[in-house]
Amino acid sequence: MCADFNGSRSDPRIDVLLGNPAVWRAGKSGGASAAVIPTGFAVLDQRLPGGGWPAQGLVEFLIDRPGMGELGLLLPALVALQRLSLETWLAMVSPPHEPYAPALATRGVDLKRLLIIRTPEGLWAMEQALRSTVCRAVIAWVGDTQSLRMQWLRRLQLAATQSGSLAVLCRPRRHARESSPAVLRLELEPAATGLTVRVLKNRNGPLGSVCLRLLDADD
Amino acid sequence: MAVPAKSLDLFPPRGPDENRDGMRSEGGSALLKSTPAAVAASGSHPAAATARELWLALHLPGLPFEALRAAGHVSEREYHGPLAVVESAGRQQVIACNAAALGLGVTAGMGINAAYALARRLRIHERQPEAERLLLERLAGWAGRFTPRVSLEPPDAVLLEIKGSRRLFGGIAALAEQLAAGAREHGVTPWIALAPTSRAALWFARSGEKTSITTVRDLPGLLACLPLAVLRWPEPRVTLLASMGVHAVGDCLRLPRDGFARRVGPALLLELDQATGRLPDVRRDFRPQVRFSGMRDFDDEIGQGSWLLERLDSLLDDLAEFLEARQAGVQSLLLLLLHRDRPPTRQVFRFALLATQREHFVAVMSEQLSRIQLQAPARGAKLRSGPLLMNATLSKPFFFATNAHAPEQISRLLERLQARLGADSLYRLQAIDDHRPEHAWRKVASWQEGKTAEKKHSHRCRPLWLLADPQPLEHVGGWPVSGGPLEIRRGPERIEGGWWAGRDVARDYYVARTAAGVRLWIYRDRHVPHGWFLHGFFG
Repeated sequence: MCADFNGSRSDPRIDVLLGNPAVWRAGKSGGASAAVIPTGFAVLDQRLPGGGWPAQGLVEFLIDRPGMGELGLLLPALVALQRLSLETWLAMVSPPHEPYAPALATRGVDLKRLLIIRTPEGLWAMEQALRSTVCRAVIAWVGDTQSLRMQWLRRLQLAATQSGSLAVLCRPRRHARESSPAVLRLELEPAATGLTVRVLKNRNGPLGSVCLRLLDADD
Repeated sequence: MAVPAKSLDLFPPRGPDENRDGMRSEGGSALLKSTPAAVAASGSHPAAATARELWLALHLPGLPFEALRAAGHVSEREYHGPLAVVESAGRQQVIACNAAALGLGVTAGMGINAAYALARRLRIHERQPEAERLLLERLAGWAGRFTPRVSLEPPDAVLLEIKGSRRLFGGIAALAEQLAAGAREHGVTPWIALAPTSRAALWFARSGEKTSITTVRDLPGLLACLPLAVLRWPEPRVTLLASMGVHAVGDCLRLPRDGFARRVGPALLLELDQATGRLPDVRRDFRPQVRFSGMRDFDDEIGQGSWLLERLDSLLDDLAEFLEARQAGVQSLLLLLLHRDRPPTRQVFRFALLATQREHFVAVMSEQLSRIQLQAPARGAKLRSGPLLMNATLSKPFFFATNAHAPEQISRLLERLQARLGADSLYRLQAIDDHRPEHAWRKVASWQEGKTAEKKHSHRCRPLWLLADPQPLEHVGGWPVSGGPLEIRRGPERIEGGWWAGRDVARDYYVARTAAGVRLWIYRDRHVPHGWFLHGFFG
C-alpha cells in the first residue's frame, strides 16, 4: 500500500496524491505538471522545474543594481508570451531607467501591448495589473525606500496564481535571507562573463547557481 | 429692371446693366441704394412681395448667467442678486454682469477689484462655455418642434426658419409667443426678431429691437440704423470703419463695394450681401445629439458614497438597454446627485475605450463613488451620458482572439489605474526613426489602436535601458573610467544629426564593460569639450 521510493506505486490513491503539483518529493525534480515558459537560456532551463519560468506565480529577482541584466534575462520569455496571443499585454511598474523602445522592438516586443506604469504605489498597480488577467507578465522594481511586508508578497502571489500570470518582483539583495511566498527566488549579479544567477528558492527544483551569458553586443 | 416674382432659382439674377462684380458703368458704384425704388431699379432682387424664407432669431443675452443657473453653479438667490462672470480664473476682468450688477455700476471690462469695490455683495463666477453650449443645444433641440430647420449661431443665438410653420402654429405672433414661453421654461430669456434673411434676423435680435420684417424690400432701410456693434466684426475692422466715419450698417451699405472689399475684406462684404438677401446664406441644420438621460429618486437619503452604487443599479440597467438598442457606447457619464437644499453634486466618469456593458460602468464607478465626499445626503440621482458613439465591432479573425473580453479588460485596467494614479502615470512606448538615441523613442499616452504598422528596426545593438540624461564619466588618459577601467567591447559607432532642430549631436558610441561585468553604452562627444558620457545599460 505504500509507495515505493523507486517509483512503482501500488495504490491509485497515492498516484492522485503524488500527482498534485503542490506535493514536492525531494530527489525528484522536474515533476511539476504546471505550465512553464522557457527562459530562452538552456542552462537556466535545466535548473528550473519544468524547464522554464513558472507560468503563474510570484518570482523574485534579488539584484543590487537594477537595470544590469534582469530585463535581458526575462526578455525571451516576455516576447514568447506576447506571441502566444494577440491580446496579451505586458506591464512594467516603476522601471529603474527608461526602457529603450528601439531595442525592445528589435528584440521582438510589441510596444503597442507594453504598459509602463510609474508611480509610488507600485505594489498596488502591480496587483491590479495581475488581477486584470489581460497582463500575462508584470515586472515591478521595488527600491530600498519601500518596505515590503509579507502581506503584500502574499497578495501578489495570490493575484498571480489566481489570474494565471507571471509576476516578477525585483528587490535589493539584502532581502535574500528573508522568507517569502514566491515560488522562485533568484539572486542576480553581473559577472565578467555575463550574469550569475543564484537560485535561492525553487519549488520542486534544486538550488544552486549558474552563470549565463546574456545576449551580448558580440552576439 | 425687375425680374418677375415667379422666378424660383435661388440666386437672384442680376440686371443686364451691371458687371460681374456689381460695378455700375458710371463712375462710382454703390453696394446698395437704400431707397426701395433704387433697389427695384438695380435689378439685383426679384421684386418679390414675400420673401422665400422667414428666419426667426433668438438671441440670448444672458446666456452666461442662465447657463450657470442651469448647471447648478449658482442658486436662485445668487442669480437674482448682483452677479458677474469672469472669463477664467486667470484673467481678472468681468466679461458680463446681470441687471442687478449693472444697476450697482459694474460693467464689462472692469477689473474684479473695482467690481467688488462698487458692489460688496457681488458674486463672481467663472464662465462655463460648456454649460452655455449645452443649454443652447438643449434650447435648439426643443425648438425643433416648430420647424425642421434649426441652426445654431454660437455662442448665444438660435435661428429658426419658420416660413412653412406659420399656419400650423397660428401665425407668426403666436409662434413667437410659444417660443418665448418655452424658452422661459428652459430658464433663458431670448430677444426675438424676424427677417427674411437669417443674418439680418440675427442682427436685429442682437440689437434688442423687436423687429418683424417679412419682405426683402424693407430690409435695407431697416438695417440702416443698426449700429456696427451688433455685427460683431473684428475690432481692427470696426476701428478702421469708425475712422472713416462709418458707424451704422446703413453707412456700410452706402460705401463702394470694391473699396469696401479691399479695405475691410471680402468676408465682411459677403456678410452684408447675405444680410440684404443679395447672396444666399446657407446654414447648417442643427441635429440634436442623442444622449441618455435618466433620473431616479431614492427611497431614503444616502449619506455615504459607498451605498450609492446599489441605488444606481436600475439607472445603469436603463443605460445599458438604451445603448444596446442603439448599438452604441459612451465614453463619459455625468452623475448628478440631488440634495434637498443644495445644488446637485456632479461627478464625471470617463472611460478609456467605448463602454457598453453594465459591468464596465460598475467597475469604473465603484472606485470613484466609494471615495466621494457627500456634503449633504443625496435624495436622488440623474445620469446623463456623453455623446453616443457607434460601437465598432472588432474585426479581428476569431481564431486569433483567444480572449474576446481582452479589450474591455485592458480598458478597465487602464481606467482603474488612471483613476487612482493619474493619467500621466501610464504610457506606452513608440520607436521613432531618428538617429539620435534620445529622440528615437517617445512616450505615448493615447490608448486607441494604432493605425500604422510597426517598422522593422534593424539597429545593430542598442541597450535595453536609456538614461534620461546622459551622465558624465570621468576619464583617465583619454579613456573613461567608472568604478575601475572600462573595457571597450564594440565601437565606435558614429551618430550625428539634429542640425535641423538646432541641437546638433555628434557622438561616437561604444559598448563597454566594467570590471564588475556591467555592460554600458557610452559615448564620446565630438563637440568640444569632448567629454565621455554614459547613456544606457544593456540588460
